[in-house]
Amino acid sequence: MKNINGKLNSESRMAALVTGASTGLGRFLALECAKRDFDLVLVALPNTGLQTVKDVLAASYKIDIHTIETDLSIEENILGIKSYCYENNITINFLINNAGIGFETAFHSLSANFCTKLIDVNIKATVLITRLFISDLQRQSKSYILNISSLASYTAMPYKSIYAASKSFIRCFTTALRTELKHTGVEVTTLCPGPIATNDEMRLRINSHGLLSRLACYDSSEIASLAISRALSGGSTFTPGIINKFNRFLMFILPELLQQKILDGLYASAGQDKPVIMREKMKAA
Amino acid sequence: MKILLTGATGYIGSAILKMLSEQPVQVVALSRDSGKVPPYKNTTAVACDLTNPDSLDKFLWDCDHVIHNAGYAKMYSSDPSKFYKLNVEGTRFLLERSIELEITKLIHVSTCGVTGYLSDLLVNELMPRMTPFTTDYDMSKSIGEHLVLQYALRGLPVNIVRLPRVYGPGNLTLGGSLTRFIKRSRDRGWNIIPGDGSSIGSYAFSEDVANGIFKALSYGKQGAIYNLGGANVSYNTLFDILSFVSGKQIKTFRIKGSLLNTAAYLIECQNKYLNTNYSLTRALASKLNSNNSIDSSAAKSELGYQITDLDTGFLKTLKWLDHEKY
Repeated sequence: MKNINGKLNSESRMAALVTGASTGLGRFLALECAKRDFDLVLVALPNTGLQTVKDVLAASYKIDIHTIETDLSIEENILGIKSYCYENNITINFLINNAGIGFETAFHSLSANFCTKLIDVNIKATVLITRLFISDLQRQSKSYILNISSLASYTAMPYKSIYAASKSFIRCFTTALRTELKHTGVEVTTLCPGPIATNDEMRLRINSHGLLSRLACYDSSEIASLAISRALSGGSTFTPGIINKFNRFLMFILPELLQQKILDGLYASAGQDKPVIMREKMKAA
Repeated sequence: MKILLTGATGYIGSAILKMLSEQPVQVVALSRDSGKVPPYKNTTAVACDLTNPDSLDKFLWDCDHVIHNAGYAKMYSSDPSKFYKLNVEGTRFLLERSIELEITKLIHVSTCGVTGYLSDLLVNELMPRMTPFTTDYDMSKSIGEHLVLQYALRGLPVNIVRLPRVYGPGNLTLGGSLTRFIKRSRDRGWNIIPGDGSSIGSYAFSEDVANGIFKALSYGKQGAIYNLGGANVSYNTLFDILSFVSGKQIKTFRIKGSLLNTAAYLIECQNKYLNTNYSLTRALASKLNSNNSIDSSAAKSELGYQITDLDTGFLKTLKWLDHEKY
């Protein structure tokens, strides 16, 4: 069956769901999926420019694009995404849990509300969305999950306390899921990128950590392209960039005490009294 | 309604002319070479050099409005008197004839460069210039503005619009350098950006600017200056958006300010001794390396000026470039 655009009907087309798709890494992940001819279901917070992302992609790629503007920290909204896909007869083949919140400041200066929100978006939403779509994914001969963790997931990070911990959760969860689904058609990939300059503020923050941090930093477009290729080829845990890979290696071999000492020195400036930087990483809080 | 447009074949001029061609008006398009004016239905192309303006009256006498867009728009010229001849004397002559022939509105197209760098502030129309002029272009445009305001006091209905860096569809003459920069970056997949790429510039879409100018004809308050600014973003953000919109990874190489300055100095020497005309002077280098955020709120509230977001603007620009095969 063909629809009005002369394309195959949505049942036979591949579709990707990307959360946090309006800014930063998310919209480049959406772009890479569009290049590979996936239909898209894009999820992001209201008024963060999701419509623009849709317009730009729709102008260049002949795919169906659905947008859902919603707050993933609320459980009903996540259920809403599932029912939207069901009602519109969209079968997701590629699930990308990208939405997340980041920060860099002392724990005591975070509001209680922000802490809950971070856990709700980074952990709860990722788990819940994966749970809701897992049977759909399993039913297909080939499907993919890409969860976005972080290089920060490999160690405890002072001044990124609950962020790094939430990303450790994602990494452990995703790795376990990969093993569980080893003999099915579902490929599960964890992306653990180093610093990504998703916006001016992030770049400023990255640059303030010195030369090594600057050299390890990548643009969203580079990371997205590598990540999607990796996920579609069925790769496991993935950290792009040689310096980041080396850092990951250091976190394996250095004793925790030494790691913490180094990180404390590197991020000490974040602990000083300054306005709390609570830039939502993917604007999906 | 009949509108006289000067500088109709330039970059901004061609965008204004295209916008006017879609309006219910008659247009007299002035340029040095009338053959380059596109054959729009409502447009009469005429050749007239404002630096030798003997023939101006015969085109101006039955016009209601004037959009004075002509200007010598370069960052460098081996003969600086050219800037003053057109941007000051040309403007003076046009103003003189306009007040004589009772033109009902004159829009003077100027540049945000007249205010210059203001210590990282969001620059609005009322802020004075605090630094010395570094280019003859900015200085000549500033003198031009003062002339316009003098004629406003004498009763000529005028508005000044100041433009930032403009990109988008238009004749890619000298003024279209930003559009060419965008195209080159997309085609090659890399480009050089000054400093650490964090300096903020204002990037306006040519169609927005053209619409803003048209709105100033009807809604501009007597003697008012309006910034027709665009999106205030850093080079880093600019390239992030360009990567997204073009679907291509675009590498950026950051050139330290001091290095850029040295390169600019060498180019100045070359200009001086080998008589070349390259634009990258130290003045331009420092301009590119400083923050230039433009506040367009007056134009938004009083004229209804609208700013297209960069994603959409870049998308339209790239489509246009591909379509026009530039």
